[in-house]
Amino acid sequence: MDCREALDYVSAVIDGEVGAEKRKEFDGHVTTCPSCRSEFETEAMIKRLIGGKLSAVKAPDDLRISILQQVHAGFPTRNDERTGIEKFLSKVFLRPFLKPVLALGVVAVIAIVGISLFGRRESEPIPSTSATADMVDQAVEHYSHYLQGGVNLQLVSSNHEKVRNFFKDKVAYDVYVPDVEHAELIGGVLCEHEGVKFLNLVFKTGDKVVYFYTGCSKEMKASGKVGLCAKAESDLQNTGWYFDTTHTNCSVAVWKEGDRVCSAVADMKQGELLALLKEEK
Amino acid sequence: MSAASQAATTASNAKQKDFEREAVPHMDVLYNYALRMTGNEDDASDLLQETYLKAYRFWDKYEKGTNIRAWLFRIMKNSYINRYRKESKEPDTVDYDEVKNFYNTIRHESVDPNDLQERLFGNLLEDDVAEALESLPEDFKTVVILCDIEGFTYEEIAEFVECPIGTVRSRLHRGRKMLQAKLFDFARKHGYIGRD
Repeated sequence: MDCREALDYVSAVIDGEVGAEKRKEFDGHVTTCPSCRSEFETEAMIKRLIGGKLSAVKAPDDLRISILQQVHAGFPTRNDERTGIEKFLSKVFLRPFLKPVLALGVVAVIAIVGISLFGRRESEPIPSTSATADMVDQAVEHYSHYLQGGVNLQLVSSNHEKVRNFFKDKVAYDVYVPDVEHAELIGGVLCEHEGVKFLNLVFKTGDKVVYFYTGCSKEMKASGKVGLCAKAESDLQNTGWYFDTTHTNCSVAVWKEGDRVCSAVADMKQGELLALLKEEK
Repeated sequence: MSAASQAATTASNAKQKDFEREAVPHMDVLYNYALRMTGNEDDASDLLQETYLKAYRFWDKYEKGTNIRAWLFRIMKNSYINRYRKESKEPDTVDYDEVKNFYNTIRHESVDPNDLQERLFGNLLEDDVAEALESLPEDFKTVVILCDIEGFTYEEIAEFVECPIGTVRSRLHRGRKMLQAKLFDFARKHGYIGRD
């Protein structure tokens, strides 16, 4: 092996990317050539230095969550292109003179148009996976589940009116979609525990998620199985608010709006969360 | 819900699950690469986000069974190029004469130059090394990051950057030499090395 070839293989030797034969030739050369030996040692030192000073870092959790959320919120995909075409086709077919002929088809098409126009992305409500009877625990569970990408929203929309209308007929109580200043509505999904329906609404402020979980106190009472803990009930009675202290990774606030028991979960300090909620009131 | 939209939803859920299972586990590696390429966390975050949203959008273009990491990596590399070539500061050039001079300096400085260098460079801070790395021309920076920080094999790197293994080898050699020159500069500026 001559110097030219030795220099060509310096990196490969350092990185363990040469076969035994080449390695032998290389070693043979550098024992007799101080210049190539020095080249080899210097480069090996630089590699050690880079690996030693710059370790591999992990992607920050909030970034990971934010990307997953965008994927879940239905970042434009090919499916959207398809609903665009569906939208166009259905407009064509909705011309009045075609109606008698296509009566049946139109019914189906209207459904599709309705869904695509309102940006609805229906999926089944979250199955009741929670074993807990405590509403606050459920709220936190769904919130964490959502952050991990385990909750599919039934409707993705930042339009409060649309969200309200979408869920209006699905629950027996007034749908509560709060206006939270500085926070954007992402969408919602219904879930059911022991026959009690809870509305899950997702808001985003900055890179944080504020998760609203609302149920009807009458339904909860009737079920006899889902509800708030005694401390929560008494705090609500006395102060109008209850702040959960059992969950350390997030803050939970609970309050009542008429029949509805509302809770909000977010990874922020209790004061911050309260400030957001007070803005809303 | 109509059967059509139900089917669309099911398809979209399946796609999400697929994407999460295949692509999401590589986030750390890609973030790391982005961080070392851009030299700061904000740009790295933007780049990672752009890469993943693009990957999701074009998920049906990914050929199942091929190297997912290489596919994601190429998306990131293109995004990086689109972002930073536009602002096109000319890629930093390295003065090879300077590198050569440095060699001669080092060689004459001590009977045991490598040990000396190691001690001198050992004083450098993480930020110095990160800055020196970031200043390398893109092609060289990429192979050094992938090999020396991520620990990829030549074969994998060759697939990522779409070039022959011989090119990976020579880029690594030159890239490390450029780094050495930069680091020597830093060390001198910080007074770890006296001026001749």
